[in-house]
Amino acid sequence: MPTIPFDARRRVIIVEAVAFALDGRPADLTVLVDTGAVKTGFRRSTLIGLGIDVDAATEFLWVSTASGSLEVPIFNLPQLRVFGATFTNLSVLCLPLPPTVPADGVLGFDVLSKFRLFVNYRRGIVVAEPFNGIWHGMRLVWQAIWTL
Amino acid sequence: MERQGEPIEQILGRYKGQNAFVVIEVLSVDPKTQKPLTGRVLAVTPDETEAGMAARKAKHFLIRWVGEIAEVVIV
Repeated sequence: MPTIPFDARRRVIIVEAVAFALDGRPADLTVLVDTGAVKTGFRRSTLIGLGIDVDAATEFLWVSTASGSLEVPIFNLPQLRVFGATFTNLSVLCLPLPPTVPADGVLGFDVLSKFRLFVNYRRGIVVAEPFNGIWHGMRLVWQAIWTL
Repeated sequence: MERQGEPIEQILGRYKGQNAFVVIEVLSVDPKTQKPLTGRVLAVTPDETEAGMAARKAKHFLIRWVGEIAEVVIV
């Protein structure tokens, strides 16, 4: 079960992930765990680097942010690995994140909802467990207690 | 002999404060954790599109912002 450290001094939860292009090339990413986001999304530079033509989107979504609403393109990400789980053909947003946001993207509800999550803010630890049955759930509880 | 590059942290430290994206081709990873260890710089640019295009040349890449970091983040 993945126990992932994060730097609590930054006051945001940033974890590592790996995305794969269609040709299998990996990209090491840092992603913001954002329980307020509905969908997972990445920066323009990341998606371009993965071989996605961000100017050729055919699908868009209106998203509301703290600073207003905007329409953002949707793309198909061939593969994303995070918290030890693999997501294939994940629908992701191309987000206009300011450069000063210290992450390549955000993990939203679509990905986070596949896990039981325990966050120890004081110690800077996330314990993530895919929903795989009661035994794994019990392990999460045990591991969460262990991190206290 | 294949070039092994330099430690990623060392590369990022060199460009610290430049307010740019550093595009790095990863040349070696930790065999245990698979985390990037060494690499070489492909581009240093404030432009996201340019950074992405540079990353396409790499078999394995990472892009990091080296500069000002937002104090408060609300996404």
